[in-house]
Amino acid sequence: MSRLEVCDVTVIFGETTVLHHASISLASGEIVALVGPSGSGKSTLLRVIAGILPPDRGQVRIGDLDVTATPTHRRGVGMVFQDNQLFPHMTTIENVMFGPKMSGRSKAERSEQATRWLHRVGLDAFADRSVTDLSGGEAKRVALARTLAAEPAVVLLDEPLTGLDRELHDRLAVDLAGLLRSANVTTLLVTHDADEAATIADRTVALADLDSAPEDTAPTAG
Amino acid sequence: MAIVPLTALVLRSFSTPTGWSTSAWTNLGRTEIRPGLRVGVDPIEAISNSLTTAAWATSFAVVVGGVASLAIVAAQRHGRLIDGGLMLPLATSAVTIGLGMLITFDTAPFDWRASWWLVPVGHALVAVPFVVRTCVGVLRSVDPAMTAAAATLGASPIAAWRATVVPYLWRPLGVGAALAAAISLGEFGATSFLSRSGGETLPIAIEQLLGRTGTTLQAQGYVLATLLTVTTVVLVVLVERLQGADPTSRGLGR
Repeated sequence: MSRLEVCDVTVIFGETTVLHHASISLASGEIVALVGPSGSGKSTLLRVIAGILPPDRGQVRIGDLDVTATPTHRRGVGMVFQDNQLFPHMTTIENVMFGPKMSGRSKAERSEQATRWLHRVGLDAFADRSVTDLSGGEAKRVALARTLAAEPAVVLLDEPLTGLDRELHDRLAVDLAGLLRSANVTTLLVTHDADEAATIADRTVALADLDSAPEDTAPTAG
Repeated sequence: MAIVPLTALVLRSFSTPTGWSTSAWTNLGRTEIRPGLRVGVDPIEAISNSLTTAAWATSFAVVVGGVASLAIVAAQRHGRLIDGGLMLPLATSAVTIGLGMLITFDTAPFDWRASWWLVPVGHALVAVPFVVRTCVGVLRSVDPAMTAAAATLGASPIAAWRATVVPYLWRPLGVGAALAAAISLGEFGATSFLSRSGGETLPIAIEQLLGRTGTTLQAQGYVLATLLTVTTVVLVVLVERLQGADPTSRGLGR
């Protein structure tokens, strides 16, 4: 659990400024929802924080460290992707064990950790099932368990409940909020759904409010 | 359409001037079929040569084709140049490749005409485009976001690549290897320039036996052709099975 600070980040793709002097700060253990319309640069901001995309300008700080130049795997930032990105050639429990395995845990430890997380997301019985056989809601829970089992300092959620039917969406939103609070992990959630943001997050921030630049340097697009 | 000529080969291997006989099959391996009548090539040695050559050619083609496929995918748009270069053997004939290798490697210090690897390398050149074609498509279909997901779970670039790309590489490499082996076993054009006496592969031995007068010797050629057909059909069936399996299923990729 660490403080997350994004300071004055700008990302330019070709002629298009996707993020313009974006700044946001999350207290340790805080859950913040970033809302904005599709294509507004929310996912780009998450990719910058995760280290998947280097910013053209600006800084990302986790705790007291400037991690802007730190490679993704050393940042301690976990991310749940919109389409989950589960490893289809692995079983459910192997997916969840992946993070602990990368952090050097013994086989017994990572198995215990993965089993515990699968229990917490209610999928104990699915441990040996192929992830390709899971429903949308089950896959989403596995993706969340896989991210949290890696014990990241910061968790990023990229439109985590998009594509689910309304009933499942609402149920998972409540479950997700409970899991994140019990894990006590600093979380930035991006969504275009204000209700989802209100259910899960401690506070909601509009992407348009992240622009910390003077008005005469407004973004060209995005 | 393919069944008719293949059936004709099998029937010819049992046909003698005096009727049907298994003598060509039972005589396989004897260099002197009857007193004074020598085969001239050793069919068993030709089988052995073909299998050894196919094993080496397959190894070369899989290694070169696999590494080239990774380079093509990693280089993205620039990979087209490597891709185009490796496809050249498809645009030329195997005969051209064999002749080109022969005149390239015939002068000291690069006189390698007697080298054991010359024929396998010639076969590998013909087979590499097939390995590349089977691998590149599969590798391009692996979502880069999956590698990014592995990185966010703490995987270093190499560990992320091993976890998300390598599992998908085994199946196309298996298909490419089977295709390369089938191509090598049946390769005649380049081999006709590159093989030396005593190093005849099956297609060369078949051509030599069928070129001799006398139905006894020709029947031996049909026997070898039948064996070659069976082997390549088995390899093609293997390719079909590998390609038909679910790419995300567990087992092959582990």
